Amino acid sequence: MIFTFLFIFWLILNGKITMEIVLLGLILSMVVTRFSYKTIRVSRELEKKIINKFSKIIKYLFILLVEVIKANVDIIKLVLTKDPEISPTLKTIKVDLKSRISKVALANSITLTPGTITVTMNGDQYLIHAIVKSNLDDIEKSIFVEKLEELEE
Amino acid sequence: MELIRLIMMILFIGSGMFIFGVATFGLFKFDYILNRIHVAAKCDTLASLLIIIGLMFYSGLTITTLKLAIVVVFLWLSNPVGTHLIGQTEIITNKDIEKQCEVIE
Repeated sequence: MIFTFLFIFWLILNGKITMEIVLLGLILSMVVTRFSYKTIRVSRELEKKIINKFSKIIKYLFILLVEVIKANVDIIKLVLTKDPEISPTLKTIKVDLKSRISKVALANSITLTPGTITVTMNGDQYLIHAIVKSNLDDIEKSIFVEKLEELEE
Repeated sequence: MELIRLIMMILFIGSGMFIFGVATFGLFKFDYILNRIHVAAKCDTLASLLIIIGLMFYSGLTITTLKLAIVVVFLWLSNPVGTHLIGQTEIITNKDIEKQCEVIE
């Protein structure tokens, strides 16, 4: 799968399809694929897992997009009101996620959603800053945690 | 058809620029870094997405459209990371953070 991705990426960056480009692309993607199997944590099992969960990942990205739009509307309202009521709060939360990828995905998703940003992440502890305190209510049980736990199975 | 494309272009690029404008305004409105960062982090993602969708309409269905899509992916991946780094630096270096915001353990 990583091979296919690299090859498509190469073709898009080149912009046209000729014999030399396709051949060179095939060789280069093969070399990089071998390299990443040996050095970084990519394996055939991981690739199979990702292919099986592809529809769920797409659904997750769609939810993320909706949340990003909501977040923006919130912030625009806050900026355009004259004296906004803000109550900045820092809170440490604990979320049990196993794999490193889903931890990073959760941290980035929290940053992109309404009123909250992840300041630091340490193991399973997340330090979260919220601009309005009520945004922190049940953030431990947010839809992202649910979806990521589902993805991990 | 051309007219529809033009309207979509104006709509997407216009709304993207509006959000960028609001974001710039918001940066000066708040006074503490962790409040400012909210505006910068969130508005950039949606505004860049909207402007790039507008540019996709401009370029039509060519290879450039796909290149622009890749630009969005990298922007969305790198934007939160920058936010984490700035926030982390503030938390580490600011000794009396309780003055600025309430801390819940």
